[in-house]
Amino acid sequence: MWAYLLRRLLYNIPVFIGILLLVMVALRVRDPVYAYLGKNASADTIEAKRQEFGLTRPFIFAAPTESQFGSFVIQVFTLDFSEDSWDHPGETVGDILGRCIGPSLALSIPALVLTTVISVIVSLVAASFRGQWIDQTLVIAAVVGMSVSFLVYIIFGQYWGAYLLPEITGYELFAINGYTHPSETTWWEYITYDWPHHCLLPVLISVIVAMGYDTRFYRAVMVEESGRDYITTARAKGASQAQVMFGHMLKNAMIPILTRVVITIPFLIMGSFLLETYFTIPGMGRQLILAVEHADFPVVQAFTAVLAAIYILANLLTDVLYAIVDPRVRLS
Amino acid sequence: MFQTSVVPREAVDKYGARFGLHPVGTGAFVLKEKDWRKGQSITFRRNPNYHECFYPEEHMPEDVAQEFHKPAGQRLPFLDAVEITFEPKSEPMWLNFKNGKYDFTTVPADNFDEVFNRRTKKLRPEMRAKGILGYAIPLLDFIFKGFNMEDPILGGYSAEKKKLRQALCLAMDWDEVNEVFYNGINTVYDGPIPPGLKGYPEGGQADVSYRGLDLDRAKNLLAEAGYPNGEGLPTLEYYTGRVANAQEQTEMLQQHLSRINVRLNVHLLDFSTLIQAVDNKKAQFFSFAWGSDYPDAENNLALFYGPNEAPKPNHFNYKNGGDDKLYQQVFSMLPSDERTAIMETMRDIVLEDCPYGGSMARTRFYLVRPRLKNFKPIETFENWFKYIDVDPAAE
Repeated sequence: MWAYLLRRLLYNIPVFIGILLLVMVALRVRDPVYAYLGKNASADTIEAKRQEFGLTRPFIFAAPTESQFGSFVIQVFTLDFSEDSWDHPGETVGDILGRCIGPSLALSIPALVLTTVISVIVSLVAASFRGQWIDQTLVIAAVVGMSVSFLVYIIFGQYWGAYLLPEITGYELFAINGYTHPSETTWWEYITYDWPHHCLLPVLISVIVAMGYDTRFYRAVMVEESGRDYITTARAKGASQAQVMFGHMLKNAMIPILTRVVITIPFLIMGSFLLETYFTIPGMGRQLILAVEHADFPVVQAFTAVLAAIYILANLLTDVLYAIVDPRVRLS
Repeated sequence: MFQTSVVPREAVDKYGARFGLHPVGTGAFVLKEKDWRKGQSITFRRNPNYHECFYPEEHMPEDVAQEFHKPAGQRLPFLDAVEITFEPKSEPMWLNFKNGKYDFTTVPADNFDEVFNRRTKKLRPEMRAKGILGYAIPLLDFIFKGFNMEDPILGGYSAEKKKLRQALCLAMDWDEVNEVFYNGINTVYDGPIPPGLKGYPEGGQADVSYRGLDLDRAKNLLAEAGYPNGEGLPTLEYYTGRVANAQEQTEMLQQHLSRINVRLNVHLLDFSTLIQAVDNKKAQFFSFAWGSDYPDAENNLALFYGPNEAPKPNHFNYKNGGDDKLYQQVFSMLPSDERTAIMETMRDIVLEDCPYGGSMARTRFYLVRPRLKNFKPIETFENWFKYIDVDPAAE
């Protein structure tokens, strides 16, 4: 298995370098210094900033440490994120990355776990009652859920959950925005008060939004599995409905479930920018959007590189998990 | 200047580019590292070493009417801490104000009708019943459509060239732009000097004016410029930034100018490309805005000073020797009626030459909860935290 993993890792290195090249070229199609300095910069200032930011160096055709591309690749592979942010002079890209990962994970991990567990259970129920009113109702609910914009869920979620609920009950269960880092409080307070207060509402919104998509997908998988011979055999042997669903069907449906879950991870980390923006949670998605808006190119480059790396590693992890859940799969 | 502060040289020397992360100043409040939650909030705490400073004794009559004079002579600052929350989106900010989390806020455009009567711009009774105060503060904005004065079609200073630009300006309906895109809350005015500054024409209406909408006058001037009914005038190249509703605003401009048979070829660009096009003098006709750096009309008139041509702030590449001389004169004068009169003359020279079409300034609406005392929203002064106080009993 280790040889397989190493080989896959090596195959992915050129892909990763290609992604870095594409990102750097895309960011340089238009002069990034113009975007950064705004409309009143003089030609001298622009030139001085180009030099300061290292944009006057050759892009690619020079010694790796001399070229812009070569030095960035070296930085990424040595995990050197010590370059200063353009938008926050004095703060390194590593500092920003470090402070954004925690809030993103505080949102994305519970959302992923809850969404997967609930969607799988709902899809199992739907598949078990295939064609009956329970199944039809769940499918309609999933389609309706998918059809409504994420933004609508957020705005209504904030209004009902964080504004109207305290108005009616006098008890503020959810905060409209804000995030408390575990270092600002005790872990106990963080788990029992701060996290639920600041993160539970966005997590619930995320779960509701994702459930529509996931339930439909998982239901299709379960329906396909429910028609297979081993299910008929299990039923013929007298297995209960629960045994059929959780003991047989779920096990065999794990490959597509795993594929979907692991592939979702990078998007969950970066893709929560709407939730992070509306709930003022200082995560990676929100930071990336801010960096794009403020032409903070070192941050955009580094975040994109990290995202690409997470994506590649997630693919590898999927392969490993295939072998764990399905004995027929051999990593060789 | 209101954006500047006294800072210790040794701190700047020590932190260099990192000074922004380690601010050291002389103000009424201090910032501790743990109180700056980047991208979320910032909490200023009372500076125990703040010099002896007292609440002003003299007040304008309108301030006395609002009881801003009451704490006169008391030691500043009043508050132990001021917390500022950064809200990237207006919806959660608005909910937080409504549920009493914030003492003051600006009013998001989408919630304007909930708070103010659109016609009278007065607070709605339900807001007044809660003791909330509303303020309308015009920003030092100069929003315009600029012409490149070096362009062979639109530029130049001959009578025909001026008439062409004047005709275009008269066909633009800024009031409609204001109504459709800004709920009618902005100020439409003549000249480059925004409301609130000396040199702003009374009621926004200058003696020299080519501000639309006046289609008959526009058509006559277009004919006098050598393009009767728009015939012979090539399609104009219009450059604008790809911002919120730029597409819709541009379509409205196209519709306005089509009424005098002038066509536009639109370049909807990201901001850096727009700046490059203007700085390189390639943009024939462009949409831009200027927010005054400091509350003096000289800052806006600098946009028309010849030596400031692009890539400096004179994006129009406007050159008028008479205007330049007056600018040099104004530059070294102290505020006076004479200086204001010169600036008004400069304003009218620019209006006659028409290097741009406009103007418009945004209005920012503030809401203040009753417990917040001595708070007077203002856009030209930032050191007001030390004057404010809180009276919890007033809520």
